[in-house]
Amino acid sequence: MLVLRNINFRRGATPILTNFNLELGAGETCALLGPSGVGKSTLLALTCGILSPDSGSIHVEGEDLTALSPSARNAQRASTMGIVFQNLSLMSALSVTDNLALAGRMAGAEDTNDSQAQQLLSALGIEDVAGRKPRHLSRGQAQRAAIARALMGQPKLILADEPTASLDAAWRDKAIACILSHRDTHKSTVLITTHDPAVAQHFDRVIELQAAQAA
Amino acid sequence: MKLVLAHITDRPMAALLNIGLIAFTSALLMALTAVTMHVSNRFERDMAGIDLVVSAKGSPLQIILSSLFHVDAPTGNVSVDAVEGLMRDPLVKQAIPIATGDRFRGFRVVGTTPAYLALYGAEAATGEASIGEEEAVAGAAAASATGLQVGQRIAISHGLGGEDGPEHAAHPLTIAGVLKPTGTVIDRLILTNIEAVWEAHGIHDDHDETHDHEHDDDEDHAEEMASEPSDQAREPEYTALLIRYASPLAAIRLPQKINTQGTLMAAVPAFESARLLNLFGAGRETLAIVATAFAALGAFAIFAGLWSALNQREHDIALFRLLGASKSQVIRLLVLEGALVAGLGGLLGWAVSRVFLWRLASTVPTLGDSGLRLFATSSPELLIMAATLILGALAALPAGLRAARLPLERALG
Repeated sequence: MLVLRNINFRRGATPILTNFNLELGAGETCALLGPSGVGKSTLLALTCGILSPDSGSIHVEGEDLTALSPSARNAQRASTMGIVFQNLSLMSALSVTDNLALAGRMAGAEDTNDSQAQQLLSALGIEDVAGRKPRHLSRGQAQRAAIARALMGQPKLILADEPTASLDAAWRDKAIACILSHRDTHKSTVLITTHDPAVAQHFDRVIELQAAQAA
Repeated sequence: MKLVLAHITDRPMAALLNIGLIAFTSALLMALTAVTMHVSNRFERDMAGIDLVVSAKGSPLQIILSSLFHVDAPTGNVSVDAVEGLMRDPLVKQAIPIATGDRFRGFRVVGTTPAYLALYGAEAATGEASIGEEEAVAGAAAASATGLQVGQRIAISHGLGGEDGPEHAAHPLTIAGVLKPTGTVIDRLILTNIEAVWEAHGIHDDHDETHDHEHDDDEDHAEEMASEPSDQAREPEYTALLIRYASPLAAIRLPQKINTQGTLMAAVPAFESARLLNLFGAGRETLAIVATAFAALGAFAIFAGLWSALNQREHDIALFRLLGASKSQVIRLLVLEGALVAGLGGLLGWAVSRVFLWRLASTVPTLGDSGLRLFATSSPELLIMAATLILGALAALPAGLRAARLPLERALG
């Protein structure tokens, strides 16, 4: 499902990733563990095509993202990936419900929007703030809304950057349970970053990143 | 579309400002266009079939305004004898006399001949379109405003301006019919036989017969009519003669011939109305320039609003692209937003222009009575609406192009 091969990436003169390799099959889950600045978020940004590696290849469902045009990469991302960014990344002008609906529509799964959105919001305990705009949410509510948004449209690959950073232990476990439940239902591949070993323990594989990682 | 609406409602004050600017501009332009077209069309309808108006010496524009459009005081009267030769002139196909100077409850009473009714295609809505002896017909607007009905006897009053003057109570007229609306000047007139006007003023016609003077082929009638709005004069007089040329040659020779005579003046309706529209046009052009300046300001406001909002919105735009939106979708998003704001402004402007026209029609009765249709939207007005949409879209385009080039990394932080 996801194959990263010999990924090299530098910021200026500083190497962030060196000959990084990772292979995850359908339904497999993986947590990238490590301190801040080690390149976890960069690795996710490379995986979803926001950044391009200096060298190496990234295959998602057999398609080499590095060989695709920007528009084809966009389409591939929309149809296969659900992404949770560290900064939450909800559309500020839209309500939580509309954020979810837009994500579902962009993923081409309009028919399941309403029911799926309701289920996700209930599972994450934010159904009562469904009509609010992101600026009227607490950080924890916004984080859960971002997770719900990423799961809309049944993505084959879920990428989540510190998805539980703003959640207390109870909601942290529920959020992880929600992601893994989605994996069970849709055989999705899950790749997350975290600095929390309590989160990482729920995943099939845990990769601890160090500076200029060569896995 | 939902995302576009969300972006507009997310910045309500900025959107309202832009919509207000565009609404003001389009309202001004649409109202100007509607009034200009209405006046121009109305002039054309009122002038239909009349090539020349002859009256006492004075301002030619005043002659046209008073004797054709019935909105000004006449320059004076002309004696029947003075125009007798003119009515027999072979260059004249038809000469319709009118006598003005009286009114009924604010509406002008015009003494004339049946040919005047035929000229404007008058048909009776009730009763008959007949102006026989001591008979009158009321135009649609005049009847509606005064409540005149068939069979009603009325006493007309002397004078054209201010309050109704002394009544000619000894010479009442009977309403023979109420006319259907024609969209012409006769809608707000009360028409009667020309002798009835003379009788009301104590003038007795010593001419054999009174009707319009028309040359058909070689037939040459010499009937005359006269009017006397002024009680001092005892000889029958006309206020004006409405003339149709017998040939194109008359257009060159007749006005010159009349104007060289001592007491008469010929005014060409087409020329004078064009002059009037030009005078009106100067003001209109000034307003149009002001409106265009506001349109440019409105477009700039849309551009500046979207451009500056882009700084706050770049995270949303980048996220939209991360969700799979193409660059062209991003451009369409902003262009649609600009067009929608301008379109809402245009619609609001149309509504405001209608309120303005309604107020104008109430304030200027001549305009109101002349059939100004508030809810009819002309092609030029639709073009103005379309232009506002295009203007809004074009103003948003630079912001759209900039948004499409935003790096996706903006979604991360």
